[in-house]
Amino acid sequence: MKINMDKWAGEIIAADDVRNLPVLFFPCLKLINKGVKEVVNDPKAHYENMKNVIDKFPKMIGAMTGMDLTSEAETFGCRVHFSDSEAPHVIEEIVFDRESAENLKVPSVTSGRGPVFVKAAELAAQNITDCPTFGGMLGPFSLAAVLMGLERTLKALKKDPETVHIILEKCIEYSIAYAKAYKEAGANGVLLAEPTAGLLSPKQCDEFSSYYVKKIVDAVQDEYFFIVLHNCGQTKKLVESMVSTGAKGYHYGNAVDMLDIIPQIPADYLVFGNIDPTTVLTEASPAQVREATLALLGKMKPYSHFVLSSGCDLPPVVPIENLKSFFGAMEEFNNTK
Amino acid sequence: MSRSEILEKLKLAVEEMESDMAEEAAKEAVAAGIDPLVAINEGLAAGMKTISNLFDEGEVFVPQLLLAAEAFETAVSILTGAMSEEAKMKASQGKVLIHTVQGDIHDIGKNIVKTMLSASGFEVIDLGRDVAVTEVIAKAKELSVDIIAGSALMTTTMPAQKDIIKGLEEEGIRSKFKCMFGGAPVSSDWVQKIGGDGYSESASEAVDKAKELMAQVRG
Repeated sequence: MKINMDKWAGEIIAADDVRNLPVLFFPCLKLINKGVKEVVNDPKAHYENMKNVIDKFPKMIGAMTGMDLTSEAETFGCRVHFSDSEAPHVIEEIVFDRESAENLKVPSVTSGRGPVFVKAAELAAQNITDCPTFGGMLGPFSLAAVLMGLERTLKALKKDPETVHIILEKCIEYSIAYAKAYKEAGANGVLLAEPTAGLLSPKQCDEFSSYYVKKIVDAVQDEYFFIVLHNCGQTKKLVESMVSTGAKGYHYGNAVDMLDIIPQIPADYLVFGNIDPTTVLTEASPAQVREATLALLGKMKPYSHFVLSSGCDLPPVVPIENLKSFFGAMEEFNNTK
Repeated sequence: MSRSEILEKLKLAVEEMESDMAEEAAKEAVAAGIDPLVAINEGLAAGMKTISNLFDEGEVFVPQLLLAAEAFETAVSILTGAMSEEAKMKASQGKVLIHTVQGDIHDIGKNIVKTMLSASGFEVIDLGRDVAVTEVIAKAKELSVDIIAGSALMTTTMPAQKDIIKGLEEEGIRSKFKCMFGGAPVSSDWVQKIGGDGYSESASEAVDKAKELMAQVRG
């Protein structure tokens, strides 16, 4: 369904109440007896869970594909480990030096498992019509670091930056095509996950992440298609770099205090965050979830462009009771404002 | 070059993240007959301390830390090559077996902790990533380590830390080792819950915790 996303964001900002968009997909699989392996390989099963999440938690302000973060690297040629109890993860890198970077082929966006998520987003856009649909993608620097190995990539930023740029150019060629595929399928935006950029200095973030993220933003973002840039790392000094990409939404993890972040972001952009997915949403009691959520909402009250969220993707083990408490706390806060 | 110049060069090599300079300085230290421990502690470790402090202050970032660690390790391997096993043991702050737990392939944090521990005088044996619980326990016994350190970066791999404790208990050797754990989803509550001895949130805290545990070991 086509939605004017600028208007959607404007309504959120203008509203008196706080809205919620956790990175919620995997924990709800248990409600429909599906495993991770099935939903990251079958678009219909994937869409079924997207619908399941919205049905169970109708206060979600968007439907989201699951945060897989491996399909891009797999399509380039990396091996991936699948399990029913956790999101997939890449097993090993495929780029080791300048030669292998130069020889790396950019795959077609129609190959691999990317089409699973695009098709799921298409089904969601057609059938979930009271909120926007967001596709999920791995950001360019994070993808490059998977292809080349994290430690090798980080060291290469100083020792051999040209090789990193060669890989980044190939990543961006694929990523732009992937984002366009989501847009053409009817999705209303993309959650672009760039967690590895959280390890960089501001200058490195500018050169090796934001410069490339901006290319995706410039290629696909408009009033009907919204990019949310996610970085759950230590981003306090990286906000300016992130905002330079021009994305209209910014999503942060629990490694930062949102009060250090949000004042750096223009009030017409949405800022999402940042309840701890592990210590709070997975391990704490429902009462503790409520307490943590209310505390965050209390301190973010002055900021109308704040949207409540989890700090990162929620693993399958998050108890449904904790999610109910999370959404319940938001309702409680809104009712007492 | 004078002794102090060589030590300063070792320090600078780490601060400037220059492995070539570190290699050159280490060879100069060996040629000059400087005690390897002095070269490590007053040269390399001093440089690592600078970097580590800047990292904790948010002025230096992970890529720089990794390059500084690489320079450190390049020099250490040359300097300790000249040391006897007895001398190494005597100088050691303790022996640590470090790994990323079974099922987990994330190792950046573990590698940074490894370097910080080495820079602080610990003998560190790195088993790598995705290491089976049984192998961790077998190696700990074989090498008679003081501390088992394990990192988990996913909620689904954290249980391997609990399995290590359980495995040691089942063999009746739990008291022989101190166990410390870390990683993004790990918390002090979790480590306490599973019966671990130590948790740290950062690499520099890991060094402090390791020293604390060694004080308990040595009485």
